Amino acid sequence: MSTEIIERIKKEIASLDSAVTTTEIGVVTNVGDGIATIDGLRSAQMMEMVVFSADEGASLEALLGATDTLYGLVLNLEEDSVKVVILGNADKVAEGMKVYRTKKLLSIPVSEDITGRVVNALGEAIDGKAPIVGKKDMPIERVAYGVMDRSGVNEPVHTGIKAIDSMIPIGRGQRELIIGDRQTGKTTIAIDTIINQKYEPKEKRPLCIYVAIGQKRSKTASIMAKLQEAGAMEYTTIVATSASEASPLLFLAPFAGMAIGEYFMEQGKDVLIILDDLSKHANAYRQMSLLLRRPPGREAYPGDIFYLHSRLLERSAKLSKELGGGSITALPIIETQEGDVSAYIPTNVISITDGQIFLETDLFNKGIRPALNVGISVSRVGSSAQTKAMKKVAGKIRLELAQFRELEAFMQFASDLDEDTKARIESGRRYVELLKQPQNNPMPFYKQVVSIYAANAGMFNLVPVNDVRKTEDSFLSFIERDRKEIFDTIETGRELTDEVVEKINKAIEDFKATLA
Amino acid sequence: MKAHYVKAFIETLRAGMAIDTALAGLKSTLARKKHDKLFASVLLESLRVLEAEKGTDTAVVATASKADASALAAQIKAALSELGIKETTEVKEVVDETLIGGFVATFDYQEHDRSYKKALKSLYESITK
Repeated sequence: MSTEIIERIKKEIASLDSAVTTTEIGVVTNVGDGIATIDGLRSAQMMEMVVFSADEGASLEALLGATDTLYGLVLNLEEDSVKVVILGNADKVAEGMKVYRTKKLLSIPVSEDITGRVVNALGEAIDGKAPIVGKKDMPIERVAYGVMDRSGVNEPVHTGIKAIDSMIPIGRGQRELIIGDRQTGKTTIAIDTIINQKYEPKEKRPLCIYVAIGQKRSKTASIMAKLQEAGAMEYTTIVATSASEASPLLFLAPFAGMAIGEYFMEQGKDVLIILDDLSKHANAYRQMSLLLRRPPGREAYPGDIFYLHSRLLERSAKLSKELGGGSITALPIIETQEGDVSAYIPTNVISITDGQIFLETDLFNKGIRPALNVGISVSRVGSSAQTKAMKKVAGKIRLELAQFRELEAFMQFASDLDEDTKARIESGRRYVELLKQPQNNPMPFYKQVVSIYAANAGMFNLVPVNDVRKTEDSFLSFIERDRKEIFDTIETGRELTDEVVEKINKAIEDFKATLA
Repeated sequence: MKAHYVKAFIETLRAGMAIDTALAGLKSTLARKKHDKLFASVLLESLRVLEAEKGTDTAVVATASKADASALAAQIKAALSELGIKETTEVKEVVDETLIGGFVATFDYQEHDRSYKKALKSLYESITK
């Protein structure tokens, strides 16, 4: 090819309108364990994204063919350098590599398309479907809404679990901790809550975000399969980080989930976010902080571990009407060791949240599932969000169970007890049996109301304890088949009017007749 | 630990101590504190820091060919002055064929990229986005 042609093409390229500006660069001086030390980048900001350049020495063809950009996150600003956590394959970063500022604080692109998808901590699709086109960049870190921007918690989030909805009600905008040892059913409660949202009217149904922090990929895959099978994936987003990923990604995952939630909350929608689990999150942050050479504190966690979790959970809110009235309800999960709730991270998160659901191994092994310890589980704000119908029936169950717990110790001397005590123990055993629920089988609140009402009315005293759940199923099927208007009225009106009570009483009488 | 030794060693040199005296002092301190094994790594790290400091006093101009360097001399000079080089600053010229044309000037952690590679990459990105 003639020199003339080459020169002509070069001239054309030179005239291309590409804005040439002086850019600030940094040079990697040290890299290891997913952390890079960078000289330069004097104006870099905390939590700013930087890009590791693959340009140097690479041909144009190779550059245009490259599909993945390697990002880093500035987390330490030091005297002569900055320390950056590498958000991806750290093996690609080498000493001497150039690093460019993006002048953007870490954010993820969010749009309505993210619903029903599985994404990583950076908001990139990892479910093999089409890439998600973002409408708005939502910052990973931001200051939570202030007092004046919020309104009181006044609408319930129904979990579909009788024991929780009746005695530990959760409101939209609340933060309710699920805490317990391993294998006590913490994730199951969270997943059941997501599945139960399908019973909510579509316009009121909260969008759900399940954040898997350092979970096994197989567990995340099985959760996704369960949600898909239950038809819950259509309103759920999964933010998945696996145990094999770099600790910075695990650290970012719950913040990414919150950022996605805020996108919808700002549109006036309700969001339910599950953070599974914050113990692993704390471990990831500890690992990252130690690698960043931040001073260790109690149990080697960094000094700002409380601040980390409080600024995360404080973003869960119920916005005022002026701001659209949207909400984020957070259900963080904490795994305890040997039931020790007085460890560092559990006490931190207990003090941050608005209540906790305690799950116990002993109860689980006794076959009481969900293995909820109703004695020490509390909800500090949820009762004001409980529906009138539920409030009306739940008062008695709480009292009955409290009395049962006190008398439980005397059960072994059953023959020496007076008739009244025996009756209370029998009634308590039936309530305990009634509150058992198989996993992935949440119950809509209107059915719960009828079921608990029937228990309060002594309907289950007629059957042996082991037959309580079978009888409950038959009774609810009977109403569904012959008296459906009872369910419909409670579902729409959300209260137990005298008229409905009369109808339920009549239904109980008729059902008793069939039992006889 | 190592970082403290490096800092002290460099500060001593900056204060004007002769290199031989500083090295002897470093050796004896390490021996006294039974940290002899750190000697090599302290020297390596000090070398890196000093070279990096020296690097900030050197401007690097990369062009696709030697011919480009002379053809673009005026533009390169303007870019270097924009980057704030002084008369005493050493300018190092390198050839990077992957640039295709144009030049990239770097000084004191700032970069002025007028290469054809960047222009074409920007064009590609603007079309594909």
